[in-house]
Amino acid sequence: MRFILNVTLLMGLLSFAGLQPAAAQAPATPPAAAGGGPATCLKCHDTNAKVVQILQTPHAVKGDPHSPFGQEGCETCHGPSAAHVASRSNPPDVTFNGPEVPPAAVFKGGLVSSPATRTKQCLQCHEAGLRMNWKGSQHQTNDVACNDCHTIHIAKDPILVKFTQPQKCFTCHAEQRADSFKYSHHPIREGKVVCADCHNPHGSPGPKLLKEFTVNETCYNCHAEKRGPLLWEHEPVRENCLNCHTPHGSTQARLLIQRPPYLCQECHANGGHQSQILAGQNLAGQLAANVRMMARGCVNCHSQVHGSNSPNGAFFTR
Amino acid sequence: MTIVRSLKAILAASVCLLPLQALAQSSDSFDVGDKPAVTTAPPAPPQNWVTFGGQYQSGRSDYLNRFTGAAAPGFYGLGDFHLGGRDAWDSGGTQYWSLDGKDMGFDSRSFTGKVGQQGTWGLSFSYDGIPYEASDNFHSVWNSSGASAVPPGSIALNNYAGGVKYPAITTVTPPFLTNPASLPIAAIFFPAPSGTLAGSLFDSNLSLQRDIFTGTGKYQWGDWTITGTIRHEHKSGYQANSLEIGGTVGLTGTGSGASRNNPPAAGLTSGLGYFAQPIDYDTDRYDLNAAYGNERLQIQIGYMFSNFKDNLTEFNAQNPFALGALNAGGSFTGAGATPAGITAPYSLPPSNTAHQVKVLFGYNVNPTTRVNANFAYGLQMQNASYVGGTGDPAANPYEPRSSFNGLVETFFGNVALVTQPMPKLDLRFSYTIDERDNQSPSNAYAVDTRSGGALNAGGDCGFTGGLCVNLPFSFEHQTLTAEAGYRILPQTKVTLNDTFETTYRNYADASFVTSNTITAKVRTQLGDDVFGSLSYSHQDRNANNYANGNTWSLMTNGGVNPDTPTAFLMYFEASRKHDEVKATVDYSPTHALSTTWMFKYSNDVYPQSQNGLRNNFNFATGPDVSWDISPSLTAHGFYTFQQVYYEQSSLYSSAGNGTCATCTGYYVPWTAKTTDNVHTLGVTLDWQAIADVLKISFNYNFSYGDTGYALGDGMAVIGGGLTSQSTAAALTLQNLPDVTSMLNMISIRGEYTFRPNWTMIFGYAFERFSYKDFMNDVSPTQYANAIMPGTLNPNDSVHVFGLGMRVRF
Repeated sequence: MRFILNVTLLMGLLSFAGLQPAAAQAPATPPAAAGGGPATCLKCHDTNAKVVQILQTPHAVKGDPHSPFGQEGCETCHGPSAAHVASRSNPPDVTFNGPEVPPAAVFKGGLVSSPATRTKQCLQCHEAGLRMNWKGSQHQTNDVACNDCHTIHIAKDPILVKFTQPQKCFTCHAEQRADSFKYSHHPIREGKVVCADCHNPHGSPGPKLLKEFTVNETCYNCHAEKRGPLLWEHEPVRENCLNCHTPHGSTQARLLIQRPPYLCQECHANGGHQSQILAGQNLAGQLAANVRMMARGCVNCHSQVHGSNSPNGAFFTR
Repeated sequence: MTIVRSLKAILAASVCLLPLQALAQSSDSFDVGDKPAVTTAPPAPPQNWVTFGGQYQSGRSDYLNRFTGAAAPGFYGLGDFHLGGRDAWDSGGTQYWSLDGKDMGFDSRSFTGKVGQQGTWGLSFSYDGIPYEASDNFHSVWNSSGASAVPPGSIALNNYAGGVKYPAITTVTPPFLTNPASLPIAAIFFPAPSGTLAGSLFDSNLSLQRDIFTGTGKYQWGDWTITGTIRHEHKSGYQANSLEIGGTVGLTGTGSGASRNNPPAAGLTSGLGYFAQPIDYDTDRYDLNAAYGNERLQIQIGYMFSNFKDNLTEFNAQNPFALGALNAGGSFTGAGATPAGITAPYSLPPSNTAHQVKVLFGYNVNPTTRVNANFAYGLQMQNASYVGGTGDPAANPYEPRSSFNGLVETFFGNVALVTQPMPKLDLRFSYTIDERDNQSPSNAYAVDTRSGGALNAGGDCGFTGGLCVNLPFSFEHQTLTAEAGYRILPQTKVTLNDTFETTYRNYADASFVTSNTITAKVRTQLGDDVFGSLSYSHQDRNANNYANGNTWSLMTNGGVNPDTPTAFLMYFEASRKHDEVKATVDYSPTHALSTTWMFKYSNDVYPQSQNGLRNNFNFATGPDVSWDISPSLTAHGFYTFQQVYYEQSSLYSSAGNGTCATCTGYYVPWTAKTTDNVHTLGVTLDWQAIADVLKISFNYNFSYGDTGYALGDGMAVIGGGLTSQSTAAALTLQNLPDVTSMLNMISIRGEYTFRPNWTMIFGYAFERFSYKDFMNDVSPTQYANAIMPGTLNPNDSVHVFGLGMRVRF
């Protein structure tokens, strides 16, 4: 009895020591691998549909040495987990969901690893290509882990499907969700142009996690007719499409941040019609009706607003 | 007590010292060694499925279905499928294949196929259709080839009364601009519409279709992954466009045209018309990438070639307006019919090409330090033949060359160091350069049919027959960033960031701009199950050497003063102070309930700008709630409020900015404030009414946007060369109506699995959208000087019923 009590107290003290800051501990012994590959884990996790769906995915291909199941099986991602195999009350080395319990962590469930630990597991294989600029990126510095967006234990990850991807991004980016409902919008909710068509959420050297290095180069992927170069260029257009447009959605037509003539009059106020104040009396049907308050406003005449290649197009009219 | 049972007791005791959440997990500890080993994989549910059916749409849906190709009412087929297979996970095989199709009954259908051996090679191909329906009631005096619906010169245009552009104001009668008796200006846009014009116009649907074909091949060669992609896009259809013929719409000249502020050449009256621009684009893109990766080093080398081809070069519009007869010199003069055969060529986007080479490099110096470098060098080229400056056979405007031969070099470079020199401290340093070097030729061009062959330094290149010089814009942005993040507590992190930027521009009003941005952010646990973040950012941007009118002066070769009011700076290059606050609060008391509140405010002030854009701010806030009400019922709701505000001012100069000693007119300072308020709401309920048998989903979305305008005026001031004004006059401006948009969308969808792998899908949706914009709903023939498209504000109310079947196999 005394032996059992002493061992119990010892185990409790050891458990408490595990919660101290890392600096106060002696270097931890790496956890031992359970061995036996996926078969060991499937002894228990063979009926949970949320677990076995991974067997239908590229992560579970034993014949591919790059795949987790071609290496250490489940422990490739969940870490050496002999303790968990020995007793279910011990979590796997790495868990991917649940509140954080340092130092050990889990991907999902009641115990979860820190974002850094969870991400580190994925970066073992996925640090190249689109993820090269992950470290130091906006998502990484905001403690977003890979499985905060990705779902691994599922036949098809919803974030890799165009129609369901935006919903995942909208869980944090509520402003962009609201924009997608506006009158003028890219077909995001319609599943035709989605977040990853313009952004690389894994990190990018360009602004706002864009796929290309600049805003304009991203836009030219689908709007190559604007690329030019053109004979008569409109300076704000060449520099940044966002000088006049907002990409996610706008209450104004054609994704404009503001409508003509007021948008144009933020830069153009030369004496004459450019500086004219246009108001209610200039609307169609009013006494001072002005064509610049109808249809596309200034762009009625200056329709080549993105630039013109016509010798006669210095004022973007041809 | 046996050893096994005592170990169980010990473990149970130690569990008491773990966090409470762990206790919930530990209620059923056991010895995994008791369970027999699994020798075969558990049976997988059927992964292939096909969905077929149909839906009925009760009305036209210009807004809601503009991207599906189902704008028109009627029946549509439903068709989705997934077919696929791969070697069993434990067989040692790596082969896989899949075929997916979505929306096969719509123009927005998509199709993807993949095949390969995982870890060795892979091929994929896809088709994606993106339709866009803009309008079904577009009116034009031209058909798609530019032929006029009415004989040339048959549309009479109106003149100013007395032929004076800006008459002197000799009487001051408030409310100004609303009293027709003293407003000869008002007569400009009130020509008598032609009685036969309305019936003659062409009526067309404006719609576009993108067909995108993509093929990708991938090969794994050791640690190298070689990827090649070919993407071909064909875009066709029609989109709304417009062109003016003759000059500034509605002006009739009487003067000699000595300066731009006098009326243009005598007899020149111009017209405006909308046309359905034909679109026939082909864009091909080729990418080749080689990526290497191991635990420490990652490299990616890529080449991209993009070729945009416009299969149409110009839209040649036959002139329907009565511009006047030609004089001996080949210019229009006087009133009269326009000679037949005169056309107005409109240049369509020229074909262009682009090349880009990319090199990306990442190296883990040690587990806590990483270096990244990204470089890209590109060329953009365009050398399409110019279209004619005019369709007037008698005119021969001076052109220095027959095509542009444009060339732009782009360079992008970025290096970054990310390191954790000590636990809890993260550092990041980066430098970025982004350069556009426009090496295109710069020449002087005749932009007016009356232009001669020489530069007219004292004239206006647009109005008085001078030449304009094209300006090949170049710029260079450099950015230096330093960031430090320190984790004070496991759940509390503080981050400081300083970013310094410089911008150099040529041919610009502000050639050198610098800015410095400081950002502070904290993320922490505020309480039990409550997490929050707060960040504040301040930017100071300085336009160090602003030269008002520099661009215009260079373009006109030192021509006329641009008449821009004092301290009117173009906002995108002006000095600016930017402040931004962001905050989030996350509360998740249980695994079943998650709530988030978001707040964002950003404000821009332009301190040097006394005119132009002065101030704008963006504000957004709202909650998001996800709740697993029960194991079979989940709910999600959100609300977002957004406000966008712009404030700008200017000086209405009716006769120049004091540079014309003999001009008469007035100056009126004015302001415009635009406020956008948008409310967005969404509710979703998912109910597993009968587990694995019946599932019902309900969804409601609401969006309301309101753009309001507040326009203000100042007292008319007298100055410069104005001599005729003796008293000041106040403008009384009529307010603009708000621009509103409202969307209501409700849908109910059910899935009933009436037998294994057979599921009946049924659904109903109601969609209501209305948009009220004062710039729409203009009759095409209300003003003969300007033939408007006549497009109406969208106003949709649509019921959609759908029924389908999904079969799994």
